[in-house]
Amino acid sequence: MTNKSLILLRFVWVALFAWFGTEQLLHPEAWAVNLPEWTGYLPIPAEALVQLNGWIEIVLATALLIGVHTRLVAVLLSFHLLSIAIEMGGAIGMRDMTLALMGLAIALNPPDDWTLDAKFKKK
Amino acid sequence: MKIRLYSSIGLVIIFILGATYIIQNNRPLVKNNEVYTSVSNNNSENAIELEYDMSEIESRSTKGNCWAAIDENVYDLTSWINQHPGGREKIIELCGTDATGAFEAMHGDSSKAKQALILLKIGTLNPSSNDK
Repeated sequence: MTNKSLILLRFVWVALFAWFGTEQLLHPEAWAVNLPEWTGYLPIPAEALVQLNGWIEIVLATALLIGVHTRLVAVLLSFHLLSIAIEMGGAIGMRDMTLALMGLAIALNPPDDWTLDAKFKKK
Repeated sequence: MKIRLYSSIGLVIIFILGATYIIQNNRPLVKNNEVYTSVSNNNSENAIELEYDMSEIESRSTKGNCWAAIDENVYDLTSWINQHPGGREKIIELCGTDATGAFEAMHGDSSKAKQALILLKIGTLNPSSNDK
């Protein structure tokens, strides 16, 4: 994969998780219905769980944006999205699985030139 | 190398601070041995149930707001418009109405749809309001 296409893919993924993370932080009540049933046993309110999930996505998207531990973050987000895809199933699950596999492409390549990882590896 | 390390530590600290704020903000409040939730007071069993007339539901469903009655309960569907898996239009056409029939026709006994409604409930329908 060329450097430019990897940069594009990384930024698109940052935008994806930043948007979903922000939406979950601002409108947790609308997203709580998508939580798996087992989360009902946790001692944390559903809306707090949604906001925590959104916050994790925003922080990991920021890490991906500046390019620290790029491959690890890409793997974490891919598996996160993969678990959502399996939970949701159907057309939404298929779309999320495709996005998750796109993320794995970031993880399988060395970090692009615009990441902190690449900048400090060269030194 | 140090910048990379500091960035990682900074992100971890930011995450912990944010997560702490979210958990604190959503922590159940205990008052006089009754439990209140800080976010969804309307959903708590101990919260006071508000009653609304159909006329109020209609008047609240202006541009940007969407209230509807379903099965004697009143729901604020505003935030659900953009999240509805079946599309925005299906919700918009229910704003300001008694949508019991439409909901049952579309979802029947779907537990997932009912679970979504629980989170949006804001009160109950005044029984006399339908008789007017």
